[in-house]
Amino acid sequence: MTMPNSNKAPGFVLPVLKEDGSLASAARAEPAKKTDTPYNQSYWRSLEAKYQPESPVNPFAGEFPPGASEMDSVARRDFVKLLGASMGLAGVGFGSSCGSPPQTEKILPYHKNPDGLTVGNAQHYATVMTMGGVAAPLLVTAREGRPVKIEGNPDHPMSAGAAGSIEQAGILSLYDPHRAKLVKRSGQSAAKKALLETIARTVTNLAKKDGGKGVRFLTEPTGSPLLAELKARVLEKLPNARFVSYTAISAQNRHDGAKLAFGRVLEPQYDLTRAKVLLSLDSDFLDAYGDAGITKAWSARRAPGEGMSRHYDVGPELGMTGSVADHRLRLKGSEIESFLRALIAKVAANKPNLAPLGTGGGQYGDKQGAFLDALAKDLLANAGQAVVLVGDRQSPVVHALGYALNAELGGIGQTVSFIKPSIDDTNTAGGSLKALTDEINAGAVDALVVTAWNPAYARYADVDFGAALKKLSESAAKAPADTKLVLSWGLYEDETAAVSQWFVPASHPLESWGDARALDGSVLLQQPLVEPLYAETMSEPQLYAAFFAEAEKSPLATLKESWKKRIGDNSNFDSTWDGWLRLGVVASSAHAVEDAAIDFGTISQQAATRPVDGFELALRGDYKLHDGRYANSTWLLEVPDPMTKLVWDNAAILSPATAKKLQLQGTNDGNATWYREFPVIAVTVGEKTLKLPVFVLPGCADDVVNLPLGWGRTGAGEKSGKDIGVDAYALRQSATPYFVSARVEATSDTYELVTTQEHWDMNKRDVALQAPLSQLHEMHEKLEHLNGVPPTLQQPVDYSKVEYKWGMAIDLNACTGCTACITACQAENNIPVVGKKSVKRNREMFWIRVDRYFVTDDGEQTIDDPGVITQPITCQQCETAPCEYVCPVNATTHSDEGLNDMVYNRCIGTRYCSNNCPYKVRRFNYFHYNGELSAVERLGKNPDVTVRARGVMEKCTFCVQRIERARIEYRRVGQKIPDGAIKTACQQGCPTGAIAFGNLNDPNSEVSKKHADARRYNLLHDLGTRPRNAFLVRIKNPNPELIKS
Amino acid sequence: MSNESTTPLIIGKQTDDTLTASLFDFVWKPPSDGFKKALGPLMAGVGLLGFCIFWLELWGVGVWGNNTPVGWGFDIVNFVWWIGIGHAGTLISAILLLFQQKWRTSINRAAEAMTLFAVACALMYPTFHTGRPWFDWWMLPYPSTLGVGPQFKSPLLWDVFAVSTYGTVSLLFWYVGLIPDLAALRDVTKSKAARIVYGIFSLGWRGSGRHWQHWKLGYLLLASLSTPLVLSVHSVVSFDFAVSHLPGWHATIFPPYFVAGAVFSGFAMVVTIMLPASKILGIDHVITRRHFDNMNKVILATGMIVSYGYAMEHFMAWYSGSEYESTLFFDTRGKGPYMWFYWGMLFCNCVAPQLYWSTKMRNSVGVMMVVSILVNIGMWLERFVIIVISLHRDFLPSSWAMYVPTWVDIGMFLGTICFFFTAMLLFFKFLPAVAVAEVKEFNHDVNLAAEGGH
Repeated sequence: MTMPNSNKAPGFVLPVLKEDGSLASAARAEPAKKTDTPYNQSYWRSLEAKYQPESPVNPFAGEFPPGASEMDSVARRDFVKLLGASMGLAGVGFGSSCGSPPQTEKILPYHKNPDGLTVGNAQHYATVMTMGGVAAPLLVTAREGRPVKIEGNPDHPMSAGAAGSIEQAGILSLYDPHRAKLVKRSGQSAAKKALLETIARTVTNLAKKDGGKGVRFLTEPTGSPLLAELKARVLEKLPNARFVSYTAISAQNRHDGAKLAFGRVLEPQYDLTRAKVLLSLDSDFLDAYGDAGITKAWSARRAPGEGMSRHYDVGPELGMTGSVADHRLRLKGSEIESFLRALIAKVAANKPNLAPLGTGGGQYGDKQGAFLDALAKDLLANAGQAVVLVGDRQSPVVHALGYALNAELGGIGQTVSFIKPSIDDTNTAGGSLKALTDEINAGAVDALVVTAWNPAYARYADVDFGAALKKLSESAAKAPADTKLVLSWGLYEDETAAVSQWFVPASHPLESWGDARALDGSVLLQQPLVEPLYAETMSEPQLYAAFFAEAEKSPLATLKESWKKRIGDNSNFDSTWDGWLRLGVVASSAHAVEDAAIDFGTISQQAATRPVDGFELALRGDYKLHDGRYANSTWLLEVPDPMTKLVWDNAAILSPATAKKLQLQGTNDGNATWYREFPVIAVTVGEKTLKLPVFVLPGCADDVVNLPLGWGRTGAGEKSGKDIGVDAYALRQSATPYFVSARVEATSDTYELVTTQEHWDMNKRDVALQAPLSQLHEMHEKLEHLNGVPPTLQQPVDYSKVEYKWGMAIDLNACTGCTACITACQAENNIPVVGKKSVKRNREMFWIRVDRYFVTDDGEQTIDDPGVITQPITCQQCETAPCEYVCPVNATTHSDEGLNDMVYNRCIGTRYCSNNCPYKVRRFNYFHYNGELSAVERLGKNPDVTVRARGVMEKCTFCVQRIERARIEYRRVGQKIPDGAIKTACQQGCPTGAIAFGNLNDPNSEVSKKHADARRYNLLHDLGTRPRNAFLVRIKNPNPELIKS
Repeated sequence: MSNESTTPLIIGKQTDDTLTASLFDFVWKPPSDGFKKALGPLMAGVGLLGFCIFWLELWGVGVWGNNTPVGWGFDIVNFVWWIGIGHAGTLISAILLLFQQKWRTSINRAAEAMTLFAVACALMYPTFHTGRPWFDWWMLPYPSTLGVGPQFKSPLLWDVFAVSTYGTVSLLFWYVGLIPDLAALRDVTKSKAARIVYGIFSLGWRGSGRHWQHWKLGYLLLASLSTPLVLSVHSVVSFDFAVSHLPGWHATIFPPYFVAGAVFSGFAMVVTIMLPASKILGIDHVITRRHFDNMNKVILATGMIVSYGYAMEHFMAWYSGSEYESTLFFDTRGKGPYMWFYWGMLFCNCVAPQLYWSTKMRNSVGVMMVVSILVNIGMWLERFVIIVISLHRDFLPSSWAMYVPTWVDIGMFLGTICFFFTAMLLFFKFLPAVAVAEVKEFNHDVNLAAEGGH
């Protein structure tokens, strides 16, 4: 790549970390060429200037911000700041196992360390990221000024230290080379200053005209006090302007349901630690952004024993939540209401309030009837300890019915309580987008600012927001100067940016100051870990501030002032503030529990709706991409879907019976063939037809086409996620956004889907085990053949005398298959993404994988209704490791603490170790997967872990870098490493605590206790590998009434 | 050897002169059209091999179809196949020499050359199949300043020693055997350049009694050295599998079964090559039906041993009671996605050679050609069955996956085949395809016997 300035270090570019977002250093840039606008002239730095005006963006420069390569144009203070980054990179460079030599670059030490920073040691900051109005409390690790890992904030109950894959992947988006970096006007680069001045003049003009009557802001739902204040200040300038909230996968049904039930909008807060019996109705509550707490609580109550909860799940698709339930009933999404009403009718015998709500329910016989009877009985028997959770896809009525049932079961105040919602405006669904689109089409909008995520893509078949926006942008471009304005703001130049007059690149959450409310109402503070990598980007508060001419003000000052005002100026503010920042949360800001009384009358007036006849199309948010906003995250594209194990695609998920009914050939149920071609169906809703590849997933309801939203992106900026999968929004109806009647036809087309795991017959191998609770006391005997010391001729090495004998235990009972461990490992251990083609050839690099098996038996688990069990597999760290003795060059050996170490430097790549690994946890670098990383992507690598080159084998190390860090820390103070001081990345990410790690020579350690558990077994015990990892059998708590005797 | 076959080992009344004329004839003749026509495409194939290796080194092992769990695919399948093919040469040269099987004399030279070229083809695979071939030398036990040496427990290291020894001894044996003939070429040639080149390589051979005495002794010693190698090399190669614990690999029967298989495929390759070559080179008066008849008997015998090996593998899978073994042998192999490789292997290796119970079939050119090629295919399939089928479904069903070779896999395989045949062609062109001195000696014995002897 040619750099415009030749006296730079070749091939390697450091991003400019700007201090205050001003353009001061731009003055040092080379003289710019003439461009269209008077503003551009003086602000283009050489990179753009060189390529202007012929091409607005240098195609080669896409990865680097203006001025990125200009070391000599960087202010001295900036230069010093860069050192941190370069130090870290040096770690990456020198640490790489082989291949490319370190970049020739001058590396200077800090003259004086910045406060709190010791080079080589990590720093942790609490902050927050939000998605569709839900805030996730996070703790971010930074190395030498570079954030490298996201974990849950352990000091906040909604996270309890865990973070899901989506939250963790935030690191990748920070360093995503495809991020938007430049302000655009009509697709051409423009100066930020020009934008700010345009905003200022337009605000003045429109305020004068009619007080901003035609000004609309389309925002994400939010409860942020700062944003609320800034919005109020915008409204001071433009009193007639309006803010509209929209997100594609919204909680509005839930909120409207509460309004129906209680007369006002309330947010349910479930306490699953008190739930003996729980029913999830189309509710995948275990897949919860920003709320690992509910998963944790669920898991706590799933501990095998007396108090173990019983979990029923009803819904159209086998999701994570359904897969871990004790009983599952497959029903169409549109049939949930009928089912709930039928259930209420059964429960309502002595409850006059409830009885009217039970009318209009469905008739259920046979298996379903038995399920209903047993469920009703169980709920009644456990009144006060029973809870019903209704999914957000269900209509407000179903939510209201659910709240009523919970109330009558004595759940309110016990298993569920109600608080004020965490967002200010709860009208967040399609209705608000539709109204806004109508307004635009009616010509009532003069200025539109879109900060909501990508509504041109996250649209409805009957609400073409993108077209309206395009028209508005075109008319704004033609209108007299500064009388109209269309602006969108986002991390990427997406579909909405493409049809907006102006586009403003967003600062990443890890680069921004702000605040947000978690689901429990507590206010989380957002503090940046790094200066914005790209000078032109703006945070949401900065963008709003531009409307009252304060965009250039320090965002920290804005935030602090806002809070100072809110709590009343007190002399201790700074120390209070520092305390909040440290914990990431404003003290005692959580919402208090409200008194909630059900208004049975209103609910009973709601007419019962009938389920959809024929085929139902059931749309949902994707486990990985949510509504599509993470489509450029290669981590998320590649992490296997928890249930289907699909990567890099979405698909129509059908039950085996449905596939049979459609006479689909070559589906994935059965033995694999050489080529994995999947059939394609045509799904028609109204006028629109979509062709969808089919993935057959047992456990789904019949006649339902389950389809995740968020794929098939076309945004120009998002190259990794572009044109992958099918865009399900094309079929989405604003009136029935989740469940809609559809025509489904088989086609002769095929499509290649790639999964990390096929469906195979397990041949009754004792791999992933589960047992009913009734057998808990027999576990010891039943697992005898999988435990103990395997017979051997060799004298095994005695590890009982060493100080530390590291071991792991994975409790299958707690695993939900959520994949947080995979992403945590990927971030911690610099695991590369390989792409669809390579995954197709089974070359994915995950050090930990989550295997998913289906269970059928002679009883109620059938091919249509299988049990599911997920099993995370890491390196088992065998004491007699089969991989070690076959390596011809001693590249994998045993440490004295019994870990199976991998010496990348020594590995020549014969792959014999992998062949001989019975767990197949070793991963080989078939290509130089890390070789193509851009400079900015390299910033996200963990400097503690070698970045592996091509031709080298790698595998789970039990996070040996974390062990060594703890060893140094405790050796320094002369102590033994205490239990719990080391957490492996997967353990830390796991929301249910399924993974335990520690010293097996310490009988009191958590892992020792788990190894002593009656449910413990070794995987492939008979091979005599003596794994250091033990699995604990999953226990199911089925209702005896539902088990065939 | 009793006279079961009516065809003699040397046809017609031959003298030293007629043998010199007929056996060296091809070396002196200008290259025929057929030779040129064959060499062109074969050289193109060698070019393809070179390009595939370049491509492999440029991008990494990922250009092949290997994956996890199938860490070894065409690379090791072809390695074992080629090593096996080499075995006939050593067996014919060494063991049959020690057992004084006179019929070996006219085919040993070509068989040894075949061994060398097959070993060269084989070596390309383990050399380039590593992720970082530029560090292959770490497998050698040199005094390393890194303080790490090779790991002597690894069968791959045993391979390094076994195959390198095998290659070296085979080369020496072949070369030592060539010396008298090189001298003969030197003496007969009319070209000065050829005289110099052959002269250098004939190491000053004058054919004196002492030369012959030393040569005989050396040749015999090398034969004794080679003999254990026939058994050891493929035993060691089989350890690559047997020492691991993968179902389908972990079997004590592997060493003898692999050796038998190697001899089986090696002889099949000798027949495949020498059947047309003896005609084309005009040496079918010294490589007669009798030779082929004998080789076919060896093929039949080793084929039976291989079949017995298969039977034993299946028996042990059942007898061991191991779920992994029985699934592999009774489910995956015969019914899995690669079932046709398995059934093809059984047909080629167990059924096809049964024709050789009949003398007529053993002497039919058509049958011989078809069966020997089938055996070569069958033995390739056997390696595929052992390596890929075992790997693609191992212990945990979640790791199971398919293996599909890429164009580089196939290109490299075709490339080594072309390399092999190119080398054979050049060998036939520049060196006598028959051990002339030995044949003359044998002819002398035959003539003496015909005259009634002394």
